[in-house]
Amino acid sequence: MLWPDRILLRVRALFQRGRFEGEMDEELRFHLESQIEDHIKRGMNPDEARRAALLHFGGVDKTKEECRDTRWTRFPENLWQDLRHGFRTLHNDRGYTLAALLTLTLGIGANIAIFSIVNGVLLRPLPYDKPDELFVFVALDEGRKDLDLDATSPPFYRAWRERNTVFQEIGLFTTEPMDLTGEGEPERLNACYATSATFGVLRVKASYGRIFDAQEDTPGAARVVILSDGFWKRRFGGDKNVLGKTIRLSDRLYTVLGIMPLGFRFPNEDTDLWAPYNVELAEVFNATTARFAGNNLVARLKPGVSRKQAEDNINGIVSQLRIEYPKTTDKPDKRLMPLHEHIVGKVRPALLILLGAVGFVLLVVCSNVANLALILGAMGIYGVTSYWVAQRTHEIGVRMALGAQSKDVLRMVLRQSVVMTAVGLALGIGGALALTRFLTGMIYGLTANDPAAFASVSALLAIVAVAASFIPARRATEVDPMVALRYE
Amino acid sequence: MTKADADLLQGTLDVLILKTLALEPMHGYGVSLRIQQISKDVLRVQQGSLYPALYRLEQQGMITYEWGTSENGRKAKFYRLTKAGLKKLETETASWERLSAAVTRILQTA
Repeated sequence: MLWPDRILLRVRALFQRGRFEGEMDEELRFHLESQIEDHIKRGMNPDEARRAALLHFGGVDKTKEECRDTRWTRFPENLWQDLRHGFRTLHNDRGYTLAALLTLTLGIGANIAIFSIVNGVLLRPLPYDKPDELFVFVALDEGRKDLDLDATSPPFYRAWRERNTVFQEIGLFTTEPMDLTGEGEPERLNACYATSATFGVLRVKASYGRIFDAQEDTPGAARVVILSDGFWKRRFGGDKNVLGKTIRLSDRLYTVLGIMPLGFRFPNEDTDLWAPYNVELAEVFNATTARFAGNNLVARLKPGVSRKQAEDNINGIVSQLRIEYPKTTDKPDKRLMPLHEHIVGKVRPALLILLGAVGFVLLVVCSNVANLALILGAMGIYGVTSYWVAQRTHEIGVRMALGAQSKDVLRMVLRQSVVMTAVGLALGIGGALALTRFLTGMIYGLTANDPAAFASVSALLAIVAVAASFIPARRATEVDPMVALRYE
Repeated sequence: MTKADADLLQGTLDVLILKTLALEPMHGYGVSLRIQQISKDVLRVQQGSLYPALYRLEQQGMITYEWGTSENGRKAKFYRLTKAGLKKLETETASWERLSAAVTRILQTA
């Protein structure tokens, strides 16, 4: 019979224990009753016939047990016993248990956390239309020798918008806290001033009301504000009547113009609201010097334009601008960085701390990150189980000398790793929850703690862990009792 | 009983079961009567030992079963040889004959 068939048969036997037992009882009863009948035919009285039949048959319960042994139907009864034994040995050997659990918890926890982060950030595209076209402007920071988000000035922004040939649109935004006063508790809010073009670049729409249009970019336009879904629900209980109402922000009255959909969190995870950025108004302060003003740019490339072409184009404009504004502090060498990379880049230090440089490089290089996590998990449990087997060679020898079969030893080692993996998983998931919470605080737009990721990684890890412990378990079955006993 | 004896016995019992079932499909009780008859008590197989062997052979796909009615009118589990079982019986028979021929030769010459 083929392997899968046999496994299927055994699995079916597990679920059909009632049927298996019933059939077995019926078969053995048939045997005994036929035998009794035959004995009676040969002249025995019924009592005698029954006794003779049972005697000739041998132990009925023993036979049943041996029949069951040919299948895996014994698995459930043994499982509880195995688990109890597993816990007992772990309890007796606390030093080892502690070390092993620590390793496993760290390994599993980090794996799950990294997987859900990676799943949530690195692998998931940005929640915008054609996210590959989105770039932020960066410039080389002389002091830190590092590419940093470029801070530009409104005149430059205007010049780029008017003179560039490579972008569909460029948005200007800056962040600043605002104080909400008036009804209810005063609150400090994370506000973002953004030009209407910013929303155009990202191609987002309001879920209620509307986003800014060009009219709102002009000075003297009515003060309006757009709320984030989170802030709207938190502060106004998701009441749509707030649209068109005024709220007091930093002592000015703003009319609520729209509410953004859940998941729109630009430029930061915790941005509460957006107010129009009046470029011309800002220019009044910056026109003469075009000094740094803490403004960032996000742009959408035209289809078919490469990053290099776009950088050449803007740097050409920068050269003109530096002549037009000799006193500018704007940095000369502009680069473009994909918006995704910019966002993911913020995670880097945290991940570096967690993984070490090598781990992170591997992680980035390894397109199939799940494999990496699994290999780590497998290596962990393999090492731990190998150590355990080595420590217990003597005990295994004694057990074999006392009549334990290979399969008993195999089960003993495997149950050890099962218990260990189970406890490790429980602790690891707890650790992973904490870790992802810590990391999500640092990463914009991350929805980690994805239950599907947690469940699938846990299941996969459990399977791999047990599979990995199979190798040392097999080694344990090859222990020669004589050698093991003499070893002591 | 030593382990080697048990292994030998188990192997022998398996072949005997296969041989018995090769003649006709039969229930466990029938197999036990037949083996008792053939071996004439030499092997002293307890009837109960037969069933684990039957279950094992079924697990290995050598035999299969269906429920039918016995000659005494009861519901009984009838075992039947599969193709794999037949093949196994042939190879086991051949190797047994080789072995016994060799042993006979040695016993006669030595």
